Amino acid sequence: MDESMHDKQPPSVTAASPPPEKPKGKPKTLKCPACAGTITVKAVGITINAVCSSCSSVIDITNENYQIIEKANQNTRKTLLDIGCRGRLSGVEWEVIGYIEKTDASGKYNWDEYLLYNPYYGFRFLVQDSGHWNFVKVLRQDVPGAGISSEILFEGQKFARFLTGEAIVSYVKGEFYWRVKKGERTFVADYIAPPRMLSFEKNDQEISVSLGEYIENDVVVDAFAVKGKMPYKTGVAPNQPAPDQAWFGKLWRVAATAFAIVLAVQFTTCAIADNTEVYHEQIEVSPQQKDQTITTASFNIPKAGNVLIQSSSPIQNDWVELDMSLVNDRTNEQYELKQAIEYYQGHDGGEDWTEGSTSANTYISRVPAGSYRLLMDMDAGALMRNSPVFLSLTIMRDVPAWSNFWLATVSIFIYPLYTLLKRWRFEKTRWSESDFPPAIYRILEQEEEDAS
Amino acid sequence: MMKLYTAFCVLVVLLMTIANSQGYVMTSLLSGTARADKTINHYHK
Repeated sequence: MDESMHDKQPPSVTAASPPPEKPKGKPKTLKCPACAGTITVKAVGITINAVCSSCSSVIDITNENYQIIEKANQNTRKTLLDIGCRGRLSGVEWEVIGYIEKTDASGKYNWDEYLLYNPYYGFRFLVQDSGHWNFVKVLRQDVPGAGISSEILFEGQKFARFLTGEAIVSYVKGEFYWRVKKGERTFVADYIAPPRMLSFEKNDQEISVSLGEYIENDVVVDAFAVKGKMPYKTGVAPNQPAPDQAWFGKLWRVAATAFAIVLAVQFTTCAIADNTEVYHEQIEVSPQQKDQTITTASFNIPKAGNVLIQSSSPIQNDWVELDMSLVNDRTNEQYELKQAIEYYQGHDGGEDWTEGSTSANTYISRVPAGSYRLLMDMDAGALMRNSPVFLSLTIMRDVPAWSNFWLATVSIFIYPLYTLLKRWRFEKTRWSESDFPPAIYRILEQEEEDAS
Repeated sequence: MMKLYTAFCVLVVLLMTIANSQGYVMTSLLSGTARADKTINHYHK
């Protein structure tokens, strides 16, 4: 946006402020000195350059003889938004009065800038780059650090430097309030705080800063009733808001609140749980009992709740398997479970190792109150070697279990973590186009390059 | 989307509160050890 290069400042009102008095100049027509075609000037008294729509010659409007600044050397190009077409953006009707195509220094990368005009609100730019659109106004204020600092503060918001480079005017048509011509070069530096972007432009004479805001393609299509095919949107624009940007923070606040409640519920459960032992026995199972069912004495469960069955055996490099049934004495309802105790240890490669455990715990969910027995069928390595097995059996009731807590925690965070991953990938794509990516993206990019 | 997620979180918190207060253990429910069966000794020798 080369508003810095103009001879006369455009009106600086924003669309939100009350409209100023309309300028008195009426649209003016003149003859193109090159082809005699008709040129209509909309922003009379402000426009300096006009490009003939018939032959593309650039005319100096301020010169009484309408001097040709640049002779046409190419045919008039068809642009997505025609000169003269009107559209409503931010509640204001704008007319497209100029078009500039710019390229970077390599000439491989180009973008479009449409100059919009409203007699009450002045000028704006509509910038199209890789299918992404920005609605831009030139600022008439100094932004300290712009173009130099890696980060600048504007209206209380931090803008991060995204890229710097050279912009070259490669094509112009329409009218302009500054002297513009093909080949004009400016140094540009873009700073982003999605969906906003501060663009800093500088040439030998002047410096200007403009503020752009990302707008969706549909907004442009609806505003200007675009009939042609919109440019295909590629990649992530520097200031494109992340798809979840509006509610990302709120999502995590809800997740954090839910997690805090879950944590409070868990601690309360732990604090008020009875956590009492209802049965304990040390059992010695001889090889002769190998094929017999072991039955414990009856024990009472006074209140409905969970039951924890803990078994342990002092085994080494051995195993014990237990098929258990917790049986209600009155109703014969039974809860079946299996436990395996395996413990191995050794010395390998100069290091001690162990595997498994000498104990096993199993929860049974919500067992009704009543009198119960535990029936067990045991199989064990020691029994097969005709050796006895020593088993310690403990049955607890109303024991705080953490599995509900972990399940709830995973359920709560699974979606926020998914959005975080999506956000990460989005930001990584955005910053892959930057000259100044944050360190974390720079390191990852380097690692990926090294890996490939 | 936010409303849906908030409703989901409320549901999770409610379910956990009910499960804890009633003595339900999710892993036990999922593994099947909580199922009561009246066919006693169907496999015990």
